[in-house]
Amino acid sequence: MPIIVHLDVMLAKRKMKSKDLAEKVGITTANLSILKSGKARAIRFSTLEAICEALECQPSDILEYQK
Amino acid sequence: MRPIKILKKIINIYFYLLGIGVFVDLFQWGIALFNRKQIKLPFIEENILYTSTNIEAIIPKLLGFLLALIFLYSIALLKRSANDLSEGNHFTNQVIIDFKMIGVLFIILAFGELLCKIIFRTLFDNELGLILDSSILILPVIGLFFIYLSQVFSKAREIQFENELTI
Repeated sequence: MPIIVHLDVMLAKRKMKSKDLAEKVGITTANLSILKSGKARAIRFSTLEAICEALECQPSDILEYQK
Repeated sequence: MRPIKILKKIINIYFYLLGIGVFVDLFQWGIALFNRKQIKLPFIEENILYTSTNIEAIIPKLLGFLLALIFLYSIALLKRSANDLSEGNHFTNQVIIDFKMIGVLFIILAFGELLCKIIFRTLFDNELGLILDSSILILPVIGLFFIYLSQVFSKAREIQFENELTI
């Protein structure tokens, strides 16, 4: 997929662990891992909103389109 | 009780009754062969008895058993699918493959029966005619429906997979 997920970069910038983010967002660490690895087929707006709120960032900081 | 549970029970009962029926018929044929008795042949309309040991009596009887075993196997697949469905495993690979196989077997059964009826009625009854009875018409329709159902389940499995990977 040409959509790249930069969740690990944002987590490193905010010095936050995956487990903590998963707890804040309200998803399982397994699902967060799927999202981080780029295996996810889709992301709900509610999940994206919760991630942006937890990481204090914009959706564009997490998702990038590459040809 | 949920409809699938009732369906599962009915299919289970039908499968065992059918199995007993095929086994009893096979046993009776064995006895008839041993005693060289006169038997009625499948696929033939007229009530003429044939000597069981004659080759012209053995071939239709064997083909009849072959078709009965194919039907029994397709009901066994249906039984397995009903078990999976009743346990909530709706879109498993096994159910999709089984539904497709049931469909193909039903179509094979219909054509096999039609072919046997045409051949043996021509040979034994000396009449060439296409007799369309309910099984010849209904079996391919049910077979095609099962193949289509398999495709629907396959599509549903893809959607379920996508849904599970939506975070």
